[in-house]
Amino acid sequence: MRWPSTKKYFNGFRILTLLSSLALMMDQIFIRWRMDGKIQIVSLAGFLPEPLMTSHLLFQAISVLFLASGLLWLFCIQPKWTSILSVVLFIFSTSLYLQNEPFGDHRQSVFCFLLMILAAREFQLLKHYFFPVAASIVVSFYFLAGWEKIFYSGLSWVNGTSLQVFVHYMGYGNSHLRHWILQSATVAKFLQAGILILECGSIFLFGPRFLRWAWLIGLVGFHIGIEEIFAYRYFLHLFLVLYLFALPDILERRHEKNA
Amino acid sequence: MTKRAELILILSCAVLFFASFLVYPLFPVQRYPLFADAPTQYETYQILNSEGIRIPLSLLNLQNTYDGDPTFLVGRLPATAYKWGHVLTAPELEKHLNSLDEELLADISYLCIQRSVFGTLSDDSFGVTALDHFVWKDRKISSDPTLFASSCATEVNQ
Repeated sequence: MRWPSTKKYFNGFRILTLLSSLALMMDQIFIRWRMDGKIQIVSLAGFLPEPLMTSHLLFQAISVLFLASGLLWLFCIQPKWTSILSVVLFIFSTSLYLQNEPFGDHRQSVFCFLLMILAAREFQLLKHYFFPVAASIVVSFYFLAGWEKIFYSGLSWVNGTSLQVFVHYMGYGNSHLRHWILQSATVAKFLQAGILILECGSIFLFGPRFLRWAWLIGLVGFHIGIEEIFAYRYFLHLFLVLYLFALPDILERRHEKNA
Repeated sequence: MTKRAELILILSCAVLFFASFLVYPLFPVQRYPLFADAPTQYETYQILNSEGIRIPLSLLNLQNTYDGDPTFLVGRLPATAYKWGHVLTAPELEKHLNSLDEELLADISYLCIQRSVFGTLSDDSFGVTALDHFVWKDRKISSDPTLFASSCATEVNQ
């Protein structure tokens, strides 16, 4: 897999990542906090004194500061300073959010690491391997999720019933896909097998063109399915996947055609 | 920065990431165990008091806290007797209800409990595989249908 070495392509990725992180932060701000229950440490904010850790005002202030800092970085205003500040504020704000959220949210890690490598780039670090690292961070999201399923449940995860349980309990009532899954455990089993192959084999995105496109089409379907059933707002990851794995091929073909 | 130095830096960060991932993930390291378990059933409860008023399950610590993450690694984990993927037995249910706060129990003369267990049916579709009725009265739980029919409001009976 080769990525374009043009400044335009890099800037496009930078803008996409920053806008996605800002969108994610906006999403977090409006999710209601849970104020009851046993505190479990899932982030560095978990080590803060409880009044600070549970302060919604502090969270909102840090989040707004991140939005401001991220926007300044987006428009290349003092990029060295704003990049470092944005990374620190993103980690702080999201740590507070994760300590007080009402459900498990696993979207942030990828964007946090991408912000870190973009900040490193502002200091002329990571010039040679930027896109391989960025692509590995994005793919790890799918790859690790797939292997978590294998380690947790083994191949018995593909039992049909579990997908029926998940969509019945957490899916939207008016979802068509949910309806089909609930009608047939065989359909559910087939989809589960597809999901497992897609996630565990996401490393094939780095492979030859035909395999990459097979996986890209699969991932587009996977994300559409997630949004149609659960509306989890995981689609920001898909934009990154398409930018990193589909766009270089499209640009290359266009270049060949023009030549 | 040379290519070699960059590579060493990347590999060091990768080692740090996986060490945290495997030992104890703290944000910005996150695990992705969403829907990694394979439950074969789950249950819902509907609980009414003697006046026929529906009681919030969180008040009785019987709410389902499963959010797709079977490791339950969230910042706040509410106390609950509900066990995802495991249907509570009548003695387990009785033991839990008897362990609730005395002040709360003092206000309850009895409870009507309807439990629906969902799973795959014989025709491959998904639906209710068992419908259980219990009455919790005088600190004892009973699954006697006559007692349930005579004590509980029509809303639950339906």
